Amino acid sequence: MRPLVNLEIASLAERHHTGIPNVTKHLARELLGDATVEPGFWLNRQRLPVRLVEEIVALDGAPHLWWLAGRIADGEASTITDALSVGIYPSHKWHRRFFEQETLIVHDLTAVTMPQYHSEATVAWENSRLLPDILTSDLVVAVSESTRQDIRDYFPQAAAIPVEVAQLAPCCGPPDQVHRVKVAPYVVVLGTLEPRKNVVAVLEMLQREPAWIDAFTFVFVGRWGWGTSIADLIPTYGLTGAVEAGRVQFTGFLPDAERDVLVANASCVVYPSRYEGFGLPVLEALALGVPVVTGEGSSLAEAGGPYAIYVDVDSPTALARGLNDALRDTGVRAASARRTWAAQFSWWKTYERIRDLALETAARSKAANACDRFR
Amino acid sequence: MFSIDRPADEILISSERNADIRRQMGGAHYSYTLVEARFVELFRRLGYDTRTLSDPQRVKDRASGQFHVAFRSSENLRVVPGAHNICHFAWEFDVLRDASLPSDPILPNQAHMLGLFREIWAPSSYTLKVLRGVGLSQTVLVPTPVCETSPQPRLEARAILQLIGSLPAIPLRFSSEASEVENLELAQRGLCHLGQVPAIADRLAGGEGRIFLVVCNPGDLRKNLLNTIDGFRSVKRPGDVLLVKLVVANTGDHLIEAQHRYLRPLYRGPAAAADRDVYFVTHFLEYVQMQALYNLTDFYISASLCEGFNLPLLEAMAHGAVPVATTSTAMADYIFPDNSVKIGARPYIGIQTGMAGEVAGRPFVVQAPSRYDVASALRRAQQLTERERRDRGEVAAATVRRLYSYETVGRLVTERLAARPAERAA
Repeated sequence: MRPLVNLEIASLAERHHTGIPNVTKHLARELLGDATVEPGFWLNRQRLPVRLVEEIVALDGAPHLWWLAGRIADGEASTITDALSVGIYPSHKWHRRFFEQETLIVHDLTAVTMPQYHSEATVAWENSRLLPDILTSDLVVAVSESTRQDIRDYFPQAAAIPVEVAQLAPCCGPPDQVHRVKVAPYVVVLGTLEPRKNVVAVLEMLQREPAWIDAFTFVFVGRWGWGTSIADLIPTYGLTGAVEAGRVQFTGFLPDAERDVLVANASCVVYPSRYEGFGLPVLEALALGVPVVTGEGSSLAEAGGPYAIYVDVDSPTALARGLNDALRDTGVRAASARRTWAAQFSWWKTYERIRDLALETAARSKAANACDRFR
Repeated sequence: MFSIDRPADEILISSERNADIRRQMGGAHYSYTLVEARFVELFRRLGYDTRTLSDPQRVKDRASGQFHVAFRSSENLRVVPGAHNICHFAWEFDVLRDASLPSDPILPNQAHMLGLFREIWAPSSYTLKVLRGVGLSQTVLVPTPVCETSPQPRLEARAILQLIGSLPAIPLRFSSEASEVENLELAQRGLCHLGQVPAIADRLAGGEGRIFLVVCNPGDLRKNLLNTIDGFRSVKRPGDVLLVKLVVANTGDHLIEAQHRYLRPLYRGPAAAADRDVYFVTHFLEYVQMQALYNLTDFYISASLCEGFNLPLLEAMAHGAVPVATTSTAMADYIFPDNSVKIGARPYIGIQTGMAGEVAGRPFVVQAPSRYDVASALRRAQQLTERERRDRGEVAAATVRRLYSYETVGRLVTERLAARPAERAA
């Protein structure tokens, strides 16, 4: 009998699939393709039809998912099975102890470790949810060793809950299938516009060293999250003229395929984040063979390994130096090495590790409670 | 030694319904009113008159030593000056708000408010232990009377149908995304009378299906209603039916909307559910109707995380329904292997927000059964033969009669009332 692997996919109801929704989408795709298990997809307490999920994971966003879930009552309330059964939450739980065995994926503890970079509402929400979610899990999967360490350091109450690491994988398409074009040189700055992602570090660098704008167009890719608006940032850093001349551009959210083309053809990617749970954009840039400059510390070195350039993102001088280093490192061999590094990460590996860890935990629990199957 | 045979004839009562209800302690205040009614009846049987006070604190001229018994949540407790002040207080968490800075508000400090009373009557050993644990040494065990000493007469099918057969029964048909009009249409399409529910009619005619009942305030998160419903739906067999008697404020002309109104906050997001074996009863029922409902019931499900007493469960047991119940907190006093089917549960800290224990400001532990725990217990209940079920129900009823009859509790109350003058003299 095939094990039942349930995946909570509430985050797919976001308008744009970036960050955690993107992780959820890739896990859902792998689960759909895994013939060794029976898939179950859940939104709140609703089990969604597999055919619907197949449609959803082909989209870049699915805000209509809430509406659909509130309309689909297929009468299937039970996940009770004699087979092993696990539930995987890619982020927070709607209802704790909803699945027989619960695996929680924790992406970062930045609302705890760096609350100053989140809105008050986010800090309040995350701080009230995360620890109880962990305490009610049979297994916690951290997306990096850095996040695993944060869980251990900041939540000693959860010492008895096993925490394992499953690193994420690039969300970009195969590098050899991304369209390559010859264009004037440009630098891509990745990241949602919010304080933690710290894209203002690049704006500050451009203000101090405007020669960069003459040499490269700077393209900021990412939706606005919270904090100072783009309209206010541009004059603050004296970049109104550069924006009007098209030398500094803000694309907002871009679907994966469009972002891939933009990144793959860039001279360099800058990801100036102050703190990450993993650092997917770094890995994605490397997967496309593009040099990347990012912040030192947190989990970013796990994503970038020896192939990213790490700088103090609070220092415009250091950032400029890092950018100079990256732009010198454009050879074919270097690009190939970056792609080789990134190729060791794949969504199948991520999914398989999480699935196997969850099922192993469930099997141990089943053996321990053999006398009463559903306890 | 100074003593009198009998204290004053009149007992002053202050009740929750006259208090300032601002939901400071959660949404379960209705139970104080039910408990008060039981004690008023008990006092009457013991020969006391009762007088209900809207504002006990206004009474300034009472003879010293008169009894005043309060049935209120702690922030609404007020004493009658000069009286022998007693409060009946149920608490279901292992922590109490018992410490604060002098500059903090007094009213939310439960230990402070309870400490103003000469006696605290705790309905369960669990509450007794928690209150004494925070230094409230005047706490004694005086549970709420539940039933008569003699067995409750069983109602025949016809009598049951006469009493509750025409009550509206609303099948589980719920869509969080449908408009109000659509939801009304959904509910109306399945609306019927309780007596028309096929599983109930079959059971009353001797069918093999089982009738499961839960009585709860859906807004009280301890009651674990969604896991109860899911657990039932997971293992139900043909002919089984789950009745959910919602204990809510009178819904007037909007009975049908009630299901949607109360379920939506529980689901906290998009959800749709439909099941013709799960019915909601939203009407207010007189006690005689509740008795009929209990008589109809084979198994009463109480998947509650924690309880100070759990009166509906005890009422159901008194009528021979077999409890399928958790065994923590108050239930440890009366749920035993020979009178119940146990719902297993695992202990968790802070599994959900919005429970009254949060007023303590410290972590508290609850034994939380999942829907799998509920399903597992229901499966064991289904495996009981009709004879085994009936035997277990009889033991359950006998347990309640032994521990919580008017006679048993009356003896305890008489002891407490008699002890008062002796204590004062001492």
